[in-house]
Amino acid sequence: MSLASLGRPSLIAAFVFAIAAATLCAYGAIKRKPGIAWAGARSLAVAAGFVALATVSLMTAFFGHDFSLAYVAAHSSRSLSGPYMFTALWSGMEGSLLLWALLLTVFSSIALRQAIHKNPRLVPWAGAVLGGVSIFFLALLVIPANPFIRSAPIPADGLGLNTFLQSPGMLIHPPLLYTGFVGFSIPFAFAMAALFTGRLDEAWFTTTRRWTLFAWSALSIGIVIGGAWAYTELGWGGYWAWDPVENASFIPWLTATAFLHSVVIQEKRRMLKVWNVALILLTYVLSIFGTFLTRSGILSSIHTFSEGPIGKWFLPFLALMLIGGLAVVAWRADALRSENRFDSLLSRESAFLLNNVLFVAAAFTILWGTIYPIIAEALTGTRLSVGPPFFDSVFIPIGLAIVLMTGIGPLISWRRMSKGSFTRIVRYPLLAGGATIVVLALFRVRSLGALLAFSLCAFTATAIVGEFVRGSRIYRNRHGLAWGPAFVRTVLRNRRRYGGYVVHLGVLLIVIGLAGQAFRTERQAVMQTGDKLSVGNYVLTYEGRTQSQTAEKQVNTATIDVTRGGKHITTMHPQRNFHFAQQQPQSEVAIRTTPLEDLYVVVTSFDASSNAAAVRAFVNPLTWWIWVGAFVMLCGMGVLLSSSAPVAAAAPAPSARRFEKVAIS
Amino acid sequence: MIRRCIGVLSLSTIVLCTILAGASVAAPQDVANDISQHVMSPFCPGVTVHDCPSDNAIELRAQIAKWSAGGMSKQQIMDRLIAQYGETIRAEPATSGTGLLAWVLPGVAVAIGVVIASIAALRWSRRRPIERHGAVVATALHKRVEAELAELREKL
Repeated sequence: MSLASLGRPSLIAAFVFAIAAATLCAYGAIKRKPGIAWAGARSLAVAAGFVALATVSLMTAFFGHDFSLAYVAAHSSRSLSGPYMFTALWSGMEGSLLLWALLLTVFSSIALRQAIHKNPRLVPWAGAVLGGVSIFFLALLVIPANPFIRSAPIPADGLGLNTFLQSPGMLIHPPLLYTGFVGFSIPFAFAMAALFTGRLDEAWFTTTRRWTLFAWSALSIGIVIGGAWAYTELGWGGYWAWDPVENASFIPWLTATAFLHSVVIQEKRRMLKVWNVALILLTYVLSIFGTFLTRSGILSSIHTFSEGPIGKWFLPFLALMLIGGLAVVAWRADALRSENRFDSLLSRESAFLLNNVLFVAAAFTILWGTIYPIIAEALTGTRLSVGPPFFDSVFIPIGLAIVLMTGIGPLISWRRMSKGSFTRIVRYPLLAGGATIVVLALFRVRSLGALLAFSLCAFTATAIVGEFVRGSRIYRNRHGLAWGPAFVRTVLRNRRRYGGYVVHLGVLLIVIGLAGQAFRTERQAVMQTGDKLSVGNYVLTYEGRTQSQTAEKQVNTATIDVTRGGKHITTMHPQRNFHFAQQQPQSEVAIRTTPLEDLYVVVTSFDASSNAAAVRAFVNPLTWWIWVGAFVMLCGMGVLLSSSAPVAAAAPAPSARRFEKVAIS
Repeated sequence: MIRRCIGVLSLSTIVLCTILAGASVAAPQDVANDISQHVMSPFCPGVTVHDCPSDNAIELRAQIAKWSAGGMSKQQIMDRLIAQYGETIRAEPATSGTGLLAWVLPGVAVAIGVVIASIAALRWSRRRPIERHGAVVATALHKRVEAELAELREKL
């Protein structure tokens, strides 16, 4: 018996254990019998083991070229090389769902085990929710999306992996996105557990704080890597096209970011409890909704939805999550009342609230644009397109407002701040922002959007650097440290705060990179050997084509000499290849990257008889900063994840303590 | 002094923006690139003609560039493309008819969100007498004491 034949029985066993887990946890929660609930949590760990076995058996089939499995035959071939066998696993719907189920059951088992000591009262209900969600995904794998269906007849070779997916980016991007989506199920389950048990203090999110940060970090980096993959593989000179698959990952990222900020208010001031529970519910539902959108076929037409194999499964599940979740929130509305009030409109709480409104508005706007074609088709029968120009128009103003609030928020103190203090503290960021506009305008920068973006980045960066300077100055004055050690101690002593600022600096660098696209230059031409093409300050000279062949593809390499101001800069070698297994041509982009700009050259076709090449060349200013910004964000996330979770909510403010004394006396 | 500086700075930047954000004359190929970013590809679902890698899209881009070089305006080219491929080729909904709702709703939603948050913040930040504030804290405190007592009872 081959290992591949264990796949389906393993999935069925995992499904049965997930049912057992949900049932035992729910029973243990209702009857208040922690031992039974703990048995349920262990059942989920057993389910995770069986899903892992199913995954291993499918991978074994990939590596063994076992084309008796239809999924293996459809997504790989004998010529596919080692690491891309893993990409083949998540290149189709069934494999993606298997990866999702694996991450879900493993994360759930670990989270429940961790929480059993920290927060034993929430574990039974959290286990029931996680078990329930696992049942759904395993049911999909057992019934409509079985990855172990047999081929008949068995082909001699597989169809191969889509050539665009044969890239290092695709080894990392999908697992990171799934880690993000699935990771949000942990805080979601504990939020639901808090609602069921009525323990609506800070315990549910302090218990899952690292999971939330981990999921958010994975999703953030996954999105950026997806952009990098599009930039280097797809050959259209950009990294973000606002297509529904991209939007499906960005929408929950926005609500999760709102949650990460608003949860601080609950922690510090015991406010916004309903909002926080609603946000994590929304984030999780949107993660599932994104998968539904991209996997159900509904986006090509509303009429194809019911024809898709899993669309009709997702819709009731989504409805249950959303309506059930909101019903539980409504049931606990009394217990979710804020325990404090804002002391002033000019306070960090207010700034966080406004920031939250902006994030949610951005999420709604993108969701609306993504689903509008479906709504329009359902209402009028006419299909409309909603593409990048719409999303740019509606998102950029909100995005710029978010950048502004990123700068203002840290400057304002908790509870209240006098207008005088605010004016004093905001003057340097304001001057930096204003000076940036003037300087760029003098350099004849004409794009209003880019001017505003650079100016707001300067404003916010000055505000954040000011925070680092103020913090470091305290250590310098108290302990006589040099700036460097004082800076390090400042960050290490308050990792949550300064880790957050580092993430913000990374976001600003990304915004600078995005704003650079306002100055993009693009040219295209059909070039004969010796022809020249000017793009930006560069002159490209086509020097001919060379041809070679490997087992997988025919390789056509263009040689393009690049000069600037008559001086040789580099020689670039973009390719236009033909993959035999997929019968598919693919362009390999050549990119010369510098902090100032990228020169991006792609050959879209060759004329076999004359050797002429159809060339597209782009000068993309400041793109390098997007990847640097992502790296800075990653560093900030590392600092955040290394910080210890708060033990309990902050003590009530002095004034509140006084009132408590009054009340007690 | 600071306020005056900020005022002068803000005014000068607004003036500069207004002057410099004026339209500039673009080359025909830049116009073609711009148009291709506002037109969905009939050959690749979900992406613009600019971003679509198919050979047909490359031909269409070249055609748009020819029309642009031939003196057709952006609007004339858009009209021609819509006549040829239908309304779905527009990458952004029209600002009339069914398309209007797509544009209006996000603005309305943002406005409603900001208004609700402002009202909530105003109500929450309104100063109240000490007795009432004390009562609020007392209620919250009472609930916490009750919850902790229940937990203690359970443990015992």
